Amino acid sequence: MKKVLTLLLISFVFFSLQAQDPYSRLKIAAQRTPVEKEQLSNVKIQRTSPKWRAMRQNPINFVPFELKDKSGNPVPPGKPVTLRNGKIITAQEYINKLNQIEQQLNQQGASLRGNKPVLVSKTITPENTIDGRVATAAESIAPLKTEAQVKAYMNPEKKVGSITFKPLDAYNKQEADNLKGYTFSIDKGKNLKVTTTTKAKRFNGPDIVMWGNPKSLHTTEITNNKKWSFGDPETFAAGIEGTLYRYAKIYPFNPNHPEKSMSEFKASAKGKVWGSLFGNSFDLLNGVAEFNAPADTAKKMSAKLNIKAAGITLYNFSREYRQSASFSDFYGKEFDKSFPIEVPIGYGFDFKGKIGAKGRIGFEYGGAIYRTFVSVQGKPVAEVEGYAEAGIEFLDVIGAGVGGKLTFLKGNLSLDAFAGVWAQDAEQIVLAISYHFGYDLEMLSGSLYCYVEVCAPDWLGGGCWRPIEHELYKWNGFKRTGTIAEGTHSYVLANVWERGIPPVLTQ
Amino acid sequence: MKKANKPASIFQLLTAGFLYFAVCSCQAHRPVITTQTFRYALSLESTGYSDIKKLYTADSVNAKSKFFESTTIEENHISLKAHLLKTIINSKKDERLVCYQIIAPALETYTTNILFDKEREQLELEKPFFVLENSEGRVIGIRIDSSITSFAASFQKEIISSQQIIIPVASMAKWVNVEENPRGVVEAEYTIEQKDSLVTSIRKEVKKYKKFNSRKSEINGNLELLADYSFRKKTLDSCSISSAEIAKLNKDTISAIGSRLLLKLIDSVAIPQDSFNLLSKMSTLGAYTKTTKLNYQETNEELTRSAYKGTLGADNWKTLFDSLTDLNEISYEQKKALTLKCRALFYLQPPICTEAVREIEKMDKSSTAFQLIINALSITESEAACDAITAIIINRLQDKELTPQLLPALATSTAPTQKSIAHIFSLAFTNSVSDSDFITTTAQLTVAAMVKNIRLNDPLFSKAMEQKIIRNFQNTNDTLQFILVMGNLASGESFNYLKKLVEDKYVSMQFKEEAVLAMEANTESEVGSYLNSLLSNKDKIIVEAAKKTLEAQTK
Repeated sequence: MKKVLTLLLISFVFFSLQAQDPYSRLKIAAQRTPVEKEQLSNVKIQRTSPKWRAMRQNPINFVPFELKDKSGNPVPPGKPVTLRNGKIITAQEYINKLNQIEQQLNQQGASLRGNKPVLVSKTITPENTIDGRVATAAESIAPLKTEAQVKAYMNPEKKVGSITFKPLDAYNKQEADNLKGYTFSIDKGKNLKVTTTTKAKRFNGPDIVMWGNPKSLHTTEITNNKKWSFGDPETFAAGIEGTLYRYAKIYPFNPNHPEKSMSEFKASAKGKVWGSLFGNSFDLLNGVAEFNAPADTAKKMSAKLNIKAAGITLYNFSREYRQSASFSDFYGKEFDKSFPIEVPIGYGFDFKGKIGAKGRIGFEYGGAIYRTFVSVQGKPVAEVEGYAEAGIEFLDVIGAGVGGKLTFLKGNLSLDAFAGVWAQDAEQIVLAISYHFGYDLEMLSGSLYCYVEVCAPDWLGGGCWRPIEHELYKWNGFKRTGTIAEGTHSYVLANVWERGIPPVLTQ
Repeated sequence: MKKANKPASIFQLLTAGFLYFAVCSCQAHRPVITTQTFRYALSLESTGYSDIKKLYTADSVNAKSKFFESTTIEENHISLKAHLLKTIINSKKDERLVCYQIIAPALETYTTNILFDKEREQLELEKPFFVLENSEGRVIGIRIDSSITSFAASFQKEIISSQQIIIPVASMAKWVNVEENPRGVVEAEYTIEQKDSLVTSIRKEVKKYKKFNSRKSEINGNLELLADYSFRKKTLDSCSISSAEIAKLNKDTISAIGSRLLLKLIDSVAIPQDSFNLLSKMSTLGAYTKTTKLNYQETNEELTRSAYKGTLGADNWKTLFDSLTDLNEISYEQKKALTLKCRALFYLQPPICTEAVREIEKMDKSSTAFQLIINALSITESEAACDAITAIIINRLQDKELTPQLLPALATSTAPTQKSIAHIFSLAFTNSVSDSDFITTTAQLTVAAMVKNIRLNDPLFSKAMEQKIIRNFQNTNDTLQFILVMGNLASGESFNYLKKLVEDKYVSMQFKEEAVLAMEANTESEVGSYLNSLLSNKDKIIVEAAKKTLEAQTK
C-alpha cells in the first residue's frame, strides 16, 4: 500500500502544482520571492555609433510662434511659465525656446504643429540577428503538448497486455509475484511484449553476493540541448536554453541479492535564461534539477537543486537519501535589471533616463528517486518585458518620455525524463526510458521608443506635443511552439553475468 | 597691449550673442567701464580617423587588419576659424570666473560618418560658456549651456582645456601637474622657456593619460600634447597647441585624432557695465545653473535620480499608500506602474523605506500590497532598501516560508550594509536563530554574496566577514555547500580553496566540477588564467566545466 501511495506521489505531486498555466504558477512563485536586481553600467549612444541611424526627412519651412495666447491676444513677456522640471521662466523666454526647438525640428522635417510624431532616428538591431536567426531556429518534430498530454506521455506506468508496468519499487507483493509468470520481448515495431510462461527462470551468475566488476548489460546516456537566442547584445538580445539528460547503466543482478546491483540511474533538467541590453549582459536564471539513483543500497541516492543568477548561488537544495523520495517546487523571482542610458533623438535632442528589463523568472522542478528508477521534470519559465523611464532634469522647455510594449521573453520549456527498471527476474531486465522536450516561446516582440515632448502653458491651450521620436527597438518577434524531442524506449536485457575488467583485489 | 581700434564691433558681436538671452537688457543704462574683453583670433584644425565599428562587429577578418587598412575606417576633418572673446567676470583672491564666446565661427567639415548641420552648429558654438579657475589657473568648474548640441559642447570644452595653464604660486622653472581634460586626467609637464620683464613663454607637455574616461573599461586613451604659451605682461598673447590622441580597444586602435589650435591676441576693450552685468547674471541662470567638471560625465546616480523623479511625478508616500490600499480595483499594468513609482520614492527618499517596513508589519504577507512593497524595496538600489528588507526578515524570522524567499533579494543587493550583513551572518551561523536547515543554508549563500558585493566600498569589513565565514566552514561535512559559499564570496582566498579542491586527488570528480563552476562570479585575472589552464586538463568533465565557466564570464 505504501508503495502505491508513493507512486501516486511521484505521478501527482509535481503535476498537482500544475492546476494553472505555467505563467500563473510563476506569478505565485515569483511573488513569494522578491526581486533580484543588479547595477549595470550606464550606456551613452552617440550619433557616430553604427547602431544609431538618422531617418532623413525633408526640411520644412520655419514659421515662428508668436507671444500670443490661444485666442490671439498678446501675452505679457514677463508672465511666468513653470516648466516640468520645476524651473520658472518668462513667457518671452518660453516662446524664444519654443521657436528654437521648432527651427531644429523643421530642419528634421518635424514640427510642433504636427499631428503625429515623426520618426527621426533609430537604434539598429541587425536583421541577421533577428529575422535572419529565425530561419535557423530549432525545428519542431511535433506540435506542443499540453501539460495534461505531457503528464499522460510521461506517466511511469504503462499497460502492456494484461500487465501494468511501474517502477520496480512501486509494485505491491501480489503484482510483483504476478510478473514472475511472464517473459518479455521487443517486437519488430520496437514495442514491449509480454508472454505468459510457466518455465522456471534461472540466473547464470555466481550464486554468491556479486563481487568484482561484472560487465554492464546496457548503457543509455543521452543529452538534448537546445538554445534560442535572438537579437544583438549591443542593443536588445534574449536567450533561453534547455538541457535534458538521462542516463541508465544496467548491470546484471543476483536475484538473491538485488540490492547489490551496480545499476545506476540519473536524470537532470537544466534551464538557463539570459538577456542583454545595450552591451549589458545579464544571466537571469540558471536552474538545475538533478537526481541520481544507484541500485546498490550501500550507496546513497541524491537530489540536487541549484538556482543561480549571475554566477551567484541563490538556493542550494542538495540532499542524500537512503529511502525513496520525491520532490517538487517552484522557485520564482521577480527581477529588474536597469541602467542609465543616453541616446540622441534626431539632432539636437537627447533622451536621458533608464532602460531595463523586468518581470518574473522561475524554475519549476519535480522528480523522484528509487533504487531502480529516477524521474525529473524541469520547467524554466520567464515573463520578461523591456521598459524605460525618462529623466526630467536634463531638459528645459522640452521633456522626454517613453512608449511601446516590448515582450523581452515570455516562454517556457518542458523538460521531462525518466529512466528505470519496470521488471526484472533471474533471466531478464526490462528497462524503460522516456523523455519529452517542449517549448512555447515569444521573444523580443514589440517596440520601444523614446520621444521628445513639449508641453504648453495654459494660456497657449495647455496639452503636450510629441513632435519626434527615436525607435529603440521594433520587431514582430520570434513566436513558436512545439516539441523538440520526445520518445519512449523499452529494452529487454538478458540478465547475463560476465566478468568485465578484472576485479580489483583488496586485502 | 594694443588699444582697441574697433570697440563698437566687439560690442555688436557681444550683444548679438546675448540677444537670445536678453530678458531685461532693454533698460537704458549709462555705460560704466568695469572690465576688459580680450579678443583672439582662433584657428583650430582636427583630423581624425575612427574605426568605431570594431566595437560593434564580430568581423574577425577585418579585426586582424591594420588600423589604416581597415575597411570600416571613417575619416573626419574639421576646421574652425573664429574670434574668441575672453572676459573676466569675477576675480576673487582664490578664484575667478571667466566668460568665453566664440564669435562668427566659420566651420568647415569633411566627414564620412557624421550627419552634420553646419549652420546650426555654428549658431550653437556662439553661445557663451563660463569657466571657474583657481588662483593657479586650474579649471575647477565649467558652465556650458545645457541645451546646446554635444558637438558644440565638446568644442567649447576643448577650448577651455586649451586655456588651462596651471602655474604654481611659487616661482619654478619646471613643474608637473595632474589635471583634467575633457576625456580624463593627464599628467602635464610645464617648463618656463623664456622669462623677462615683458614676455614669459611656457611650454606644456602631456605624454599620457592617468585616467581615461570611457564607458567601456577595455578602451584606453594615449595622448601626446605640446603647447607653447606666450604671455605679455601676464596676459596671454598667443598659444600654439598640437596634439595626437589615440584610443585603443584592448590593443587595437579604434581612433586616431590629430589637432592643432592657434590663438593670437588681436585687441582688448573695456565693456560697458550693463553688458558686464548681463554676463554676470547669465553665468548663474537658466541653462548655466549647473557647474560641472571639465571631464564631467553625468553620473549613474544623477541619471537614475532624474529618471526616478520623472517616474514618481507628483506622487508621494501618502498618495501611493492610498493606492496600495485599494489594489483590487487596479489592473496588472497599473500595479506594475505603482511598483516603479514606489521604487522611485524609496530611492529618492530613503527614510520612506523604514516607514514602509512599519506599514507592512500590519499587513498579511499574502496581500497584494505587501507583495508590491516588498518587490519595490527589492528593486531599489539603496542601502536603506537593503536595511528595510533585513528588518522584514528579522521581524518575521519565524516565518519559514517568507525568510528564504526574501534572502535572494539581499544576495543580489548592490548596496549591502554592515548592519544587514551582521544580521544575515547571525542567521546563517548561529544555531539558535533559526531551526530551519533550508533557511540556514540559504542565509549562508546570501551573506557570502553580500560580503562580495560590499567589497568594493568597504574592503576591510568584507575581508573580516570573509574570514568569519571561512572559519565557520572549517569542520563542515557539506562540501557542496562550502563550494557554493566560496563561489559566492568570489575572493582571492575563496578561489584558493576552490583551486585546492580541484587539484586534490582525493576529492570526487563531482565536487571538482562544482568547484570549477563556482568560480564564475570571480572575474579576477588569476581566475581567468586558471580556468584557461584547465582547458587542457586530462579530465573531460573539468575541461567542460572550465569552458562553461569562461563562457558565462565573458557573456
